[in-house]
Amino acid sequence: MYDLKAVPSFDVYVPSTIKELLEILREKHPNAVIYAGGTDLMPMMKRGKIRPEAVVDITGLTELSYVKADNGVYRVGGLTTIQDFATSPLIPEKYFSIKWLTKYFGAETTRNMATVGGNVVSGGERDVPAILTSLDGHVKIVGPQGERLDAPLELKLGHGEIVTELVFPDWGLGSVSWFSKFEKRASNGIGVVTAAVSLKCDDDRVEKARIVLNRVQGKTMGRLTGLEEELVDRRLSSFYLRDLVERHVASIKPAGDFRASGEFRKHVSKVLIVRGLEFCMKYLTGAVSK
Amino acid sequence: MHEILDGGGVEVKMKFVLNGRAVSAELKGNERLMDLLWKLGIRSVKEGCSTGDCGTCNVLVDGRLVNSCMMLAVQARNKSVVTVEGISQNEELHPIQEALIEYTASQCGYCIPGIVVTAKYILEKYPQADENMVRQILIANICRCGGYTRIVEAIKSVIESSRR
Repeated sequence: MYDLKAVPSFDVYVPSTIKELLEILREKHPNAVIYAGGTDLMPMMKRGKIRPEAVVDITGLTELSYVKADNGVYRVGGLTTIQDFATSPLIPEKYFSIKWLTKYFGAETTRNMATVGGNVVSGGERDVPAILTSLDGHVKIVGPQGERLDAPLELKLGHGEIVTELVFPDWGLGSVSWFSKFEKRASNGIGVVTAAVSLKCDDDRVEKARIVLNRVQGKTMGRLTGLEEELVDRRLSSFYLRDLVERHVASIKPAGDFRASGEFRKHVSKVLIVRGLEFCMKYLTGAVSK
Repeated sequence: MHEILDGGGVEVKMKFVLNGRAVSAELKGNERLMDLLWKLGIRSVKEGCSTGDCGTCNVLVDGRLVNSCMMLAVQARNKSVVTVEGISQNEELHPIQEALIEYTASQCGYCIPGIVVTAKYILEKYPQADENMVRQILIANICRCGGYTRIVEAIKSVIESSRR
């Protein structure tokens, strides 16, 4: 199926600080490719899709590996592995979307190697951008022009820029976040549909909802803002959910491929969102064992 | 400070710990950890899919289970790498290996070194693992002979006896 190639020859730089890394990208090798976990990059090199002239191994930048909670904001260093992110004791249980990365994101080896920053910038299975978007999160980027924040779905790195941090606000009391992936096999596959849902309620009245699908238009990931808006101020009840979700999912146009047709994706999208919203409601009304 | 490794041919030295012993190695920039281990005479680490799907090249780096086909050798600098050669020392088999023999879990044997390392990781990291958990971690260790049932039973038996 794949015609695997030898790993191409390249120079390797091994900076140990962000400053050194930016210097390398600015002065020594502007076209250098950044290597963190390598779970996306190495298969791409082996398949001949990319032939870097130079590679910067950033795993020496230990300053970028952390999870912090300060003043209602969570900060996750770009080099934090998926495993460390998902199992961080600083992130409360109600962020199921993050906790469940241990079951939806690749295999244990992949989770031990892949980093949150890598998942945000690289093209593979983009679970972290979906979850981060569902939590109103942002990506912090550092480059020659200094620091800036970008939305995970609009992220475009300029020359010499790197992702240093993911930031998302604590959703506070009465909130919960959910994530799921429908795959063609039991585990460790690529999702046919992935969905992230976050909900915040005051008593049983919806204050804020975020709903993200991996494919809303073609292959583009996006939010269902119409559905989010219509949920606000509603009282929690499964009563109207199906119809409401169906009406909004009707407008998405996910692309089909060898994994599934666009029509099938649309159907699964609806099922997953209903499931997600029902889970969130049950959790918030105490019907799910916490 | 950063060093520059030239993939074109110049070899650069790197230090790390291999199976408990300090090693200093010469390598090229584009070498994978797997390539370096082979150069150093480690034969348990097998190349299967080369893209992180099959688990045949699994090793422990600072106690973490990783695919040595996707890790650059330089990324192991100053770290501690464990392969099957370090799990069974002085020609004495580790209980995991004993169990795999006892349960006749090894058929062609190609996947077994990766499975032994993965099982070691499960024992250390998840000593309370139940069958479900064992299967979940083993999901990325492909056995083309299809000997999964006995592999899982062997590992379960080691976990149970280590609890006693």
